[in-house]
Amino acid sequence: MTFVELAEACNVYQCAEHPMINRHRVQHNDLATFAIRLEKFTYDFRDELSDEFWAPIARLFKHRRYFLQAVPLSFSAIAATDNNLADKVLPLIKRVRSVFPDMEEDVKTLLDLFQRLSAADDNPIGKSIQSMYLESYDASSHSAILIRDSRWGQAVEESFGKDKRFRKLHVISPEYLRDGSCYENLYCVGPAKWFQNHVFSAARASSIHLFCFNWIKDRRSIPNPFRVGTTEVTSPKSARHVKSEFISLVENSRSDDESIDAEDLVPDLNISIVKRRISETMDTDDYAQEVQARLFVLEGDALVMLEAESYSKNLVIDPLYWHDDHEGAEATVSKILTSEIEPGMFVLIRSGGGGDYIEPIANDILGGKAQVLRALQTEWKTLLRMKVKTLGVEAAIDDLQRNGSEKAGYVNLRNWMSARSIKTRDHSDFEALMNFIELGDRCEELWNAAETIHGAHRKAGFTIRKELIEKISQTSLKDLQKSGRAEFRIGASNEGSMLVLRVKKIVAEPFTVPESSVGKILEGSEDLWR
Amino acid sequence: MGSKVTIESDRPVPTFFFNSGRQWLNCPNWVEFLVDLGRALGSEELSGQQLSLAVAVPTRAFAANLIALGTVSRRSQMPGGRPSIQEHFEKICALKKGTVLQCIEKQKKYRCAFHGIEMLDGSEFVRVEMYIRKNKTARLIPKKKCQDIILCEEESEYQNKITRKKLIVERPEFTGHFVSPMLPSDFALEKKPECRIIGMQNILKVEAKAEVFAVQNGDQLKTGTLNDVLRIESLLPHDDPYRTQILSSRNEETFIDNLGPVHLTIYDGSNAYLKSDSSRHLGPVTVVVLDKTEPNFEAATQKISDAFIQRRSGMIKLALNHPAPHSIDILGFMETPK
Repeated sequence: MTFVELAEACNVYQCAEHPMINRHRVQHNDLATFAIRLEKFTYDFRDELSDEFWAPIARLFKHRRYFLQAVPLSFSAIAATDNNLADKVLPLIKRVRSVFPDMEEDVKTLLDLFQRLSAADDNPIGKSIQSMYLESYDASSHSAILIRDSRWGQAVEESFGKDKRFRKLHVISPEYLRDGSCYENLYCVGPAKWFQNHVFSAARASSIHLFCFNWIKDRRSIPNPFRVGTTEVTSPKSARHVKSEFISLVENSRSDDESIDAEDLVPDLNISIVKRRISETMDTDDYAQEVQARLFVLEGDALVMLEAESYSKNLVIDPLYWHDDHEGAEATVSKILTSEIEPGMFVLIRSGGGGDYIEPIANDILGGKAQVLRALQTEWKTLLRMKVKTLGVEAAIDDLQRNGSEKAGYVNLRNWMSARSIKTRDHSDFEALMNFIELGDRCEELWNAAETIHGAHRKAGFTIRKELIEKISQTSLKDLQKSGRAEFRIGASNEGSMLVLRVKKIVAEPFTVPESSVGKILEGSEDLWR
Repeated sequence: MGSKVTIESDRPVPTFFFNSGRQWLNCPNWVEFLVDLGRALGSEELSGQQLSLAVAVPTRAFAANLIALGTVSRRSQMPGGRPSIQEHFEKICALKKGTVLQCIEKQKKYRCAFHGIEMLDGSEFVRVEMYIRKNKTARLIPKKKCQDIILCEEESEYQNKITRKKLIVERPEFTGHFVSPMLPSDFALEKKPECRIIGMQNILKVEAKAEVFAVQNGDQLKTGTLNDVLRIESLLPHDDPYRTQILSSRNEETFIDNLGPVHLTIYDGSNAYLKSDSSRHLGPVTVVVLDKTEPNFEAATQKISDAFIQRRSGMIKLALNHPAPHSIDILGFMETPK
């Protein structure tokens, strides 16, 4: 959602007033067999499949099943995108005979189907959309294909665009349906359950066509937003008006055998593997700082931990605040608490390398002094962590207070030990820290170093924000919304560019992670899904 | 569960137009409905009550401002408690010489300095001075016309700057269309805070300043902005009387500050509402505008539904002049006033 002009809002209300929502069932025998057999296989062997041996195999099959149902590309084109993964997994399947002989036959059948589908050029949903589009073609009409995962948008648009008759068809994701753009026809790929309610209850098209394979169990209607009912509104121009409890979906064709629930087809995050991965990558350094963090699922299913201590803030782009001038771009970029980040916002991640996007820019500002200053900083931070670990937090706080620190407390001490905090606010607290770690004689030298770094970080923060605002005012926010990601080069740093990625989901469960893993895309993120 | 209260709009929203980008068209039903809803919620009968209303809309665009427009226009008809001539004159007499005032003359206002009370032929006059074209000029305003003098919020010394006369109302035909029979200038000179909108401040202001509406005046269309009626504090010159406040939902102080009561408080958007303490009411009527496309929409509908279950003392029915669009869902209920 961004700033919507009045005329656009009028179109939105017109579309949302009485949208026609039709569901079209699509058939494909081989895919039906593969989908249903895979479902039966995961149910029948649910105990065996909990063995780690199966994780990559199950993931490959399930992901492929999902993409074949969710992306209107030819099956072979979808297969081509994860050939490497398939090549890695296929040798494992050969070991099934010796490890799980009872499952061999089922796996072989699934593998045959998988390979047959991978070689097929079929695109049943794509073809259905194309014929419906041509049937209702009107040169002035504005239509779009809605897919659940925006990362496939470009490939789908290119594939449709190969035929000039479909070049005007846009490919969008649900996030794109928050602004004032409206369409005559919206072709949704997948069941209604895969999309948020607003796609239907705040429709941006007068006709919505859902294309869904006929073995998928889907919802019959879209419920009223208030679970307790709605208030009666009467007017002389209309009869007594009590809102209907739901929006109906019209079945345009019969479904033969709805055997898999739509929700069961969507890959989900395997939290236990994420936890295991974190514990495996824990720093070997005994004195490494651990922090509270939240796990963010970003565009393209990338995963990142962001520090969620009470003071932790992140730079975000919030499209809600967009309006069409420089002031609008400025309002979209802000630094907010991690706890206030929500799906739909864009977060800034350093592409490649470490997690902190401020540090390389600050180092550029510090120039030749950077290395020496950072070393001084690391020196006292490490000594502090070691001493706190040895003494215990309570004793450390007592000691600091005796040394004259007024602000020594649990939260502040954690903050001071953190590599992300540069210095204490007051000199007296810093002096107490230096006395505590027996560096009192070098207090001024270390304080000056910290002040210089702090100044550079502040300047880097301003630079990043300013340049980001500049880039955003030059970029179309619609393009950013459409792709869900962008890459910007900020400053003169050679440390790589900044990735701006849309937040898709925030995992509710908090994590305790080593500070060094915060702000970095988790490597091998794709393995963390099931 | 208690009784069902009917909340009625007073009169149909007077016809007005919007700029579709190519031409001026009659405002569509959703616009009239939201203004009409605002008129219903502006009812004096709700004073002393506690009403909560959630309005789920397909886009939040303009909704909060239009509801506020309805409330401000209806409440402009209610007596504002203007002080008597004697009371006002006594306040002026108590001012220090040199204090800044504003005076009204022929639908324009200008800044001037108070220079005491003078007697002429047995009548009392307020003496004010100002600089017009670099010349110091004095005016004597008779006591019976002292209500044409506006006292500024904060007393300050008059600086010897050239005085420029400014229109009291920039677009009187547009403002008058919504506040009639009150005169637009009287409306603009009366400070009567009625509405407070808490939400995305910058976007609310852009909407309020957009000159995309018009009213018919004879055979001409006279354009205007929502702010011509809302009179938003932060969009008016300092010291101008206001009727609406817009506060940022991003600013934590908005939710901590001890804000004075107003008749209507609107939380514009799920985030604004989720940050609020829903049991704390800043006046008789609280409206929550929820955009169905917002990421936090479901969390916000859950919160209002919980409030409905836990705190409602009565149900409501809305009797309006304009039918509710199918795309708008409303949940309203009464609570026991604290």
